[in-house]
Amino acid sequence: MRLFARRSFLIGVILVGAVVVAALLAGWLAPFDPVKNNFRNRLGAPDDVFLLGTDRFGRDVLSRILFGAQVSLRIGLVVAVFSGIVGALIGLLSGWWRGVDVWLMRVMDGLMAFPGLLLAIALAATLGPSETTVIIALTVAYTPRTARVMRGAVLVARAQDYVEAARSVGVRTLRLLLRHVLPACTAPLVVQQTYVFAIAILAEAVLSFVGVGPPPPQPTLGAIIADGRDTMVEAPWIALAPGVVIAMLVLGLNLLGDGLRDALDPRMRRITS
Amino acid sequence: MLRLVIMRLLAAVPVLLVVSLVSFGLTLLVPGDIASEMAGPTATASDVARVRAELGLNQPPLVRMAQWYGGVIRGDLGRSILLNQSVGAAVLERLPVTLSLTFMGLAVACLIGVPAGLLAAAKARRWPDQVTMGGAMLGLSLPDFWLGLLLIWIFGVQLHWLPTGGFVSPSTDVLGWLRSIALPAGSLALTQLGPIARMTRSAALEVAGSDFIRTARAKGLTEGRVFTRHVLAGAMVPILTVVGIGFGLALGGALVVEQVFSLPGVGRLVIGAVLRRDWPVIQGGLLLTTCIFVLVNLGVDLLYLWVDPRLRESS
Amino acid sequence: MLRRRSFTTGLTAASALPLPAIAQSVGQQGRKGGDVIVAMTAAPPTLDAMATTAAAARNVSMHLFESLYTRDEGANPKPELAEGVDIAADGMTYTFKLRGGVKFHNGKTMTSADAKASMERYAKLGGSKDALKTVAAFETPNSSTLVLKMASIFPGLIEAISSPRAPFVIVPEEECGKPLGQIGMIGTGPFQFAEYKPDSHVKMTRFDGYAANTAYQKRDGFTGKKTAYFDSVTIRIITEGGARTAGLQTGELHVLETLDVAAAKRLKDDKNIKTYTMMPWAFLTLMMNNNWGLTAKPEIRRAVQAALEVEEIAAIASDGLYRLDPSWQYPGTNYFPGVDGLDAYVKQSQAKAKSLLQAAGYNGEELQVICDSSIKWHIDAATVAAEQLRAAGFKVKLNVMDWPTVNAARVKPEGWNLWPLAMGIEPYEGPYNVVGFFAGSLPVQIKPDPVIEDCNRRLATQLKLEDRKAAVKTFQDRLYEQAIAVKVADIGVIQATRSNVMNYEPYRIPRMWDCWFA
Repeated sequence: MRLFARRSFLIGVILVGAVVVAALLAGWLAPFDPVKNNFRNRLGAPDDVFLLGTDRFGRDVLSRILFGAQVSLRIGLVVAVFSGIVGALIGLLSGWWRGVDVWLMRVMDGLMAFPGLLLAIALAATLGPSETTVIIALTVAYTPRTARVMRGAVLVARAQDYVEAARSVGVRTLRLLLRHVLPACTAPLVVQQTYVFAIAILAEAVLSFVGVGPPPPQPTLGAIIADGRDTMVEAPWIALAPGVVIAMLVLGLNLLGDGLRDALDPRMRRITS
Repeated sequence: MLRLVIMRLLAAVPVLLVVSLVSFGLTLLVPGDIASEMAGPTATASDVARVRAELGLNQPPLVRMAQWYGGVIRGDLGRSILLNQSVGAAVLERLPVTLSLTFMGLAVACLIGVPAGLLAAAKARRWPDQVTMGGAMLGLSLPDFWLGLLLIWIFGVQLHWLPTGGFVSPSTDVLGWLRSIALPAGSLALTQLGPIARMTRSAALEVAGSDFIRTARAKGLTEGRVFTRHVLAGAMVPILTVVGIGFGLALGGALVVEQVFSLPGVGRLVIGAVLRRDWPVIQGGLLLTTCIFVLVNLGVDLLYLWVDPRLRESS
Repeated sequence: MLRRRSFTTGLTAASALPLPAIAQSVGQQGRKGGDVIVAMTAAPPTLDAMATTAAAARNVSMHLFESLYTRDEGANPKPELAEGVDIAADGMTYTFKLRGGVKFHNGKTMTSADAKASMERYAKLGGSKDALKTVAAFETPNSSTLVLKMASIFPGLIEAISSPRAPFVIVPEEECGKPLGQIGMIGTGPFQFAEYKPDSHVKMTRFDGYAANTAYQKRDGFTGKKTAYFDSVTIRIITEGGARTAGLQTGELHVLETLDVAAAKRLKDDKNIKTYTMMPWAFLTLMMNNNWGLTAKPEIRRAVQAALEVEEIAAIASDGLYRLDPSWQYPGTNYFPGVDGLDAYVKQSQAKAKSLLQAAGYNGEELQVICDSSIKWHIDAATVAAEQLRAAGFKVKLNVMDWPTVNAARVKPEGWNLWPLAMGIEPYEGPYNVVGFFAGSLPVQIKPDPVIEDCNRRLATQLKLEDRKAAVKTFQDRLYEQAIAVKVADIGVIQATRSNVMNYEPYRIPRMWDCWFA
């Protein structure tokens, strides 16, 4: 496949793949229970038993990162899928029926006018911290962007000759949308959602850091950093390692997105960037 | 031009309406209120009720909403219960912190990012391109708050070069201000560098591929000449857009970086208000912050029109 | 509603002659000058000293304001703006003689009119205003005398109005009409208010017109003979522990309200830093809802009691700065009821927990733990307790919220089972607000307990200390026997200064009087 011939895409696949595999196998790979406290071994430096040291609760940081990556990936993926579905629907409606376009886009503009993270933090704090809340908050914050991209793609598709032709011969709208318009928009949508996946992982980390993420003892990458922030000097291992994992994941996803974008349609740059 | 400005301002009204409705909706969803915060951690329920009554928080939401909108129309965003000052004053007082952080972060990001992007475009698909773009990509993949912690640890704690938090106003001490803003702006710049370099590169490449550059090349100008004279000139408008978009991103980033460095900016104000239920600040703060966002975007658009008169006709 | 009533015998005597202060280094000569920068961990919700019980507000207000009576180094009531009090034999009249020549920061001399207006404002919106519930009238026979006429006997009055919980500060009469949160920052304290930048800092400057209380030789708790040496005090709000520590290390900060324990261990050999351990600082507790769901059943509450290993909770939540102490009063204080017979309750036994659960017919209902995310003690205690309960067979849901939500949730009669709380100022005050927390119209355990109600009444009305002590003992036994709430341990804090801050002594707040830069 020509995608894999691109080095950066390959790097992306490797980075994301490594984290995903490690996270999926957390149950087998993790040497300890990620929520098991041990107050006699608090803030232990990395050694041959606890490879990445222990945190304030005496919990194994490596095990927490493995399970934390699982949660962060889950949140990122669900947000990408949900905002993809909702955004696609809004974009489709908006791009196809000019009547609703004005209204929907005003609402989207309104939501986009908020700094995304601020809106997400406010929502998450309001709804009370939980994994579901984080997913809802991030979906609300990042759907408008997807809707815009989708709308742009629909407008392009709508103007295509074959769609015009299909319309003129009386193909039913629903069928037209499903058969012709939607497929033409999947490429930009997939690319956009790859970025949303990456952004959502970063945003989850911020939410957990601010204290409105999933509640303890649930590990998430952001929560582990937050746990380590007050002991950055005494026990830097707690906050450093999960940051590296986040960077790996986000970098990998961004490279994947770029690779997909270039491979699927070079012209799309203008829509997505 | 004026007509255009007015049109754009009018277009912002529904946006702000949505924003204010969402902000107000948030305060309705919120359980608990400021009274418990005011009364203190071990206050009894009746203590809290007394404070609530004292503050006039007993009114039903619709009444509050009507009062609030009534105030907004008169230009009064209400009063912060926690800070004992008007919301407008509270936001304006913190705005310089957030804006100076944003500007500094963005300036550093542009000073490095734009040349890096141009370099990458000039050497497209060769090693300088790959190195700078790799670096840019890495930068935008780092969590900014984590980078902030890292910088505090390196420069504040290990090297003792820079303060680890707090804000010095430039009006009292310019050097102190620069020092206090250096680490936050640095971590902001590092994460904003990526998008700016990337967007600059693609803008420059687009210009480089256009007809007039091909003509210039055909006239026999050297590559370097072509690049500095024509590509750069042609890329100015898109780069300006990049900076405009970058401003929005940097402002969003600044709100988070403030948290890590304990800077008394707008982000801390609003997030603190959310966590402590100071609802006039939640509503007013979100509304004002968003207004600033909208205005900045409008400003960038206008600047854009001013730089590139061709667009004036088409819009 | 909190009720505090007691006959405090001997208070009149105590007020007449100042007791010897806790031994401290004297003889050093203070030096005036400098701006001392203090870091506190949270923003005060308001600077209206009377209105809030928040600790952050005390950090500021105890520098600016003073009260008729306050607490000394050993937390006993001592006069401050009053010279003393005469309590009528029938307990119905309190006559406070005010000190002369005390100036407000605005230059005005304090009179009984100010004291009266301040007390009246307190009675309306003060944080512990129930203390004045039994006062019928405040009278001012002359400019230096304030008389409290009681509607009914309340012998605990002096103990109540001397508490710094939400201090009974005296402010100028003109300020007293102002609504909650909008009062001017004018007091009689050794420092005067300069500016408040919310979320950033509070600045105070030395009040050169300060009239030190010559009835004392030196500082004593919140009272004593106070001398301000620093030109100004800047209290900065820095919520991140790491930033506070780093600031102290670099010298940007001179005094920390609390230094993280891990950082204190690391810095113990640092010549530039002095650390001071305050132990005990607070009770770490887990409150239970005795009214709703699982914890409505005593067997289940006993299972919770048995399932918890308090040492692990305390060690993690306090970062190792704890003292195992099952008592609901501090050892060595007047009302300490002892710890006899508590061992059996305190000892963790998962087997016992499991058998109690079985006996109670537990079949996997969720135990709802509510907890705020802003105070580390709370969230850590909840996290560890939840894990221990899970290990004993409970199904546990940990609901983390922000403070206002928790506070709204925990006064609801339903919907929660377990709530962690660090009680700082109440045990420092003595037994009244500890017992009172479990009694009255809305007790913390939601369901009123007749025995505790009776203890609260006895504590408020018994004349003899022995009888009041007995009431506290009965209260404590009842808490354990019915497993109404769990006392985890006493926990401490570490205050810290740069080494050049001389003559500092730790207390409930970092006191910036009677210390100076070397």
